[in-house]
Amino acid sequence: MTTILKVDNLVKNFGGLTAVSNVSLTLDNNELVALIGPNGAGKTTLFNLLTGVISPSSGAIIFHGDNGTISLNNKSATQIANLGLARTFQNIRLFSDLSVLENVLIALTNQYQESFIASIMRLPKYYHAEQQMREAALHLLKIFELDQQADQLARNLPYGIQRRLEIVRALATKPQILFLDEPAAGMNPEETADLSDLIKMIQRDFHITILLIEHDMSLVMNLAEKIYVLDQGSLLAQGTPSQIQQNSAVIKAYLGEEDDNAAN
Amino acid sequence: MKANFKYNIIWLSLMVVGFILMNTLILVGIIDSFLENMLVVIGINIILALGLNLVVGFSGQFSLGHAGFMAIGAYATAIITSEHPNTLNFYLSIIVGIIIAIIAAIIVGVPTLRLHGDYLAIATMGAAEIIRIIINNLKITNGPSGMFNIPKFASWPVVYVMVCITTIIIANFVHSRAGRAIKSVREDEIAAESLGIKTTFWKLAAFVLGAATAAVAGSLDASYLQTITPNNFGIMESISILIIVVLGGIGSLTGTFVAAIVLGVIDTALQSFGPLRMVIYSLALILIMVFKPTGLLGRYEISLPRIFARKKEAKS
Amino acid sequence: MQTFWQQLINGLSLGSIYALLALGYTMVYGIIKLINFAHGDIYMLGAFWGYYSINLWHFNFLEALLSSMIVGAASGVIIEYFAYRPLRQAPRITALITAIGVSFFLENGMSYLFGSTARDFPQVIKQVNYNFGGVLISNIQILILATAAILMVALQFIIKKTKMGTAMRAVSVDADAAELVGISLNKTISFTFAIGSALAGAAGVLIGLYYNSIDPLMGMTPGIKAFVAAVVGGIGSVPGATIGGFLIGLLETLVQSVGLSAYKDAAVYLVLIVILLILPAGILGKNIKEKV
Repeated sequence: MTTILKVDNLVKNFGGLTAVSNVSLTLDNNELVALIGPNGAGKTTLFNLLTGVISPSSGAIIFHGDNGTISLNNKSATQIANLGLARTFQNIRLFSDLSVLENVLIALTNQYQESFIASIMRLPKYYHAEQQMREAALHLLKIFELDQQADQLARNLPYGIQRRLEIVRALATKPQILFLDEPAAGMNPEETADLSDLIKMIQRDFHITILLIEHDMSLVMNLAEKIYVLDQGSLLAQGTPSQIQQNSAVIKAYLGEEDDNAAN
Repeated sequence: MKANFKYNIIWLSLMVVGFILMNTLILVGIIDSFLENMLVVIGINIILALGLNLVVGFSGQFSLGHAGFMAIGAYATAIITSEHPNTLNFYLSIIVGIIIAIIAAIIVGVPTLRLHGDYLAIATMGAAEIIRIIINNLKITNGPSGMFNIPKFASWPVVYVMVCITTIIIANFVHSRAGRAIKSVREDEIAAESLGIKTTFWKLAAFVLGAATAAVAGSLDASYLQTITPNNFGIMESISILIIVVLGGIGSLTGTFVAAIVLGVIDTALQSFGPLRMVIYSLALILIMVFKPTGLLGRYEISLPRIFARKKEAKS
Repeated sequence: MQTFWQQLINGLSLGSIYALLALGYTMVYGIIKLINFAHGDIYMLGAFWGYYSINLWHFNFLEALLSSMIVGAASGVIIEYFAYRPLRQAPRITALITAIGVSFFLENGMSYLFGSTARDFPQVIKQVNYNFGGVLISNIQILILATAAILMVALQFIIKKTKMGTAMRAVSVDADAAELVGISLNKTISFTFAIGSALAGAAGVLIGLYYNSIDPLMGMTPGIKAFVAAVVGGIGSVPGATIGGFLIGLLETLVQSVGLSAYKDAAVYLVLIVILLILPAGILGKNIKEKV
């Protein structure tokens, strides 16, 4: 297995508060990794650091992508996305007044060339590019069974479908790593089970690395090949699901006292 | 492919038919010089408001400085055509106006487009005022007294063609890859960035295209009215363009047309009321906004494919 | 040095009027996020009220000042009730256009009723100039500075110490939460408009005394300048509006005194843009980052 993302001693201070403190982790190619921890542990802050929404106070984020080894430390969110790291958001951020199709088409913006002149003069090149983008977007929507809703406004979709669309939109950027921020939040057990299959399918068919934040332990234990546990900004433990289930420090952080069956 | 070609031909024919219709009405005297004047003013306002709608309605950037770019076009045409009055120079002056407006838009936009909402509005308003004050103090622009006896090259056919060209450019731009990128910035800048959209670039693109169309409208305005002063391009002008955009429906190009026409007609109809005119106008504005907060058309847009689809449905 | 002190005094007098106006903008913006374009016109109404009350009913300065504050407050509350309240849930740009409509209505309505020509403001207080080592200070300038200072202290007291002030601060932080704990949104917003507009009414009488001339369009330019002052100071911040007002007043007199009066407005806008680029929320404004 080759490493695709390496995080080294990452620190983020907000004024006097240390939200992320000396976190190191590695993601391997095509691996499915979960990041867990109690509320306020710094999980989303870590995601924001990795995807360039905020920049780290110190430490290093190294990406071993298809185009060589690149430091992500001072890259903007846009640059990081273009390097092949895509994400979803804890509080869904769809383009809610645009259609499902448009949401995906926007993610394809940088993959297709369509010159200003060609589009305002409606040259054949414009129609050709539009056709290609449409096909690519619809193809992706079909895989995720959203093609029937292509012309609906994103805001009118049911909650669970909105989450799925956000994942499709992120995938449309052809990422090498996909970050999912609480994809199962607000879902019922049935929807969560579907989501679990979906994430497995993405890992298998799209050959990408996935890092997900999740509170739903059944989902995490079922999916993850490796788990990192974050508590109060620091890494508390790491290992396979079964190792984490046995880890007394993790159990303590979650329940405040030792309990053998806590994480099940 | 064929269907697309069909829609383009239909739109083009509509524009030609409109042109012939107006020409005939003028020839037979139904449209007199008074009405023609109203139509030209409406046309210029449509160009201005389409450009501002691109910036405010589609890219979601609240600009209150549209009149500044209009002033640049107006003075470019006034200065160049006063010096060497011929048709070629008139069109050349439009291009010069566009180029200067684009440069000004980049200078203003690069720093200020980092600001959001009302802060951006107040900064662009300030920038436009600075442009106006500079014009007010230059010799070549004849200072505060303005320029008069500007040669008249902008007749109504010229304005009509320019309205068509601006509409084609902006409507096609909005319905392209660029237009979608711009709308994504309006919807959610953080999400757009997470998809690799260069938000700063696309905001600037909309701002620059809006400024360029404002310059064209300014050129037509100067050449048609033949008199301009810096005070024509103050904050109130920017506001009156914004009123057209909001009244029509932010993000609806069709709405911009409707609002420009409605306001133009109301304005002309109220002329006989003398000093009460503006009182009635402002009351009408307040009432429309209170009872129709999303503007006359909301985000509705005329779309040929949709109209044809509906017809087919009705048949079957 | 002498000219410096002279310009400082002139700048402070002008600045205190901008500050009084800016306070109204900042309070309204803080509470309902609306640029109340009609605010400058309430100041015009205050000036006209002063003009008529002094000429017709022979009010003295204090009576004119206090009654114009009441008139200002009443018009602010009425405008909010009819024009802005129905639009509280509407897109913000709609409310802004409505505010512009109200502004046009007041300007043109007053022009229609009272004519658009400028008129001389009655000299209710005889101007006396005092000479302090070559620096001329008029009793009117002292009066303006003193009145402005008293009003600002009173405002600070209302906001910090009274129940209504606490309600205002609560609503400006989170209107929904404030309503949940039993604060009446409508009452608080009306009160904010009343206070802000009363300050504008007072500024109208003061400017009438200072410049001697009033007309229905007099609120336009100072209105926009005062809004700029509020933004520079950090919109929503009461001390910020005061600082912004004085800053803009001083800057204008400074630019004028070095012989660049043609560019005084340009200088104001340039400073506005530069300050916003360095401090995107103004001098004392809080920069709230969107949570991801």
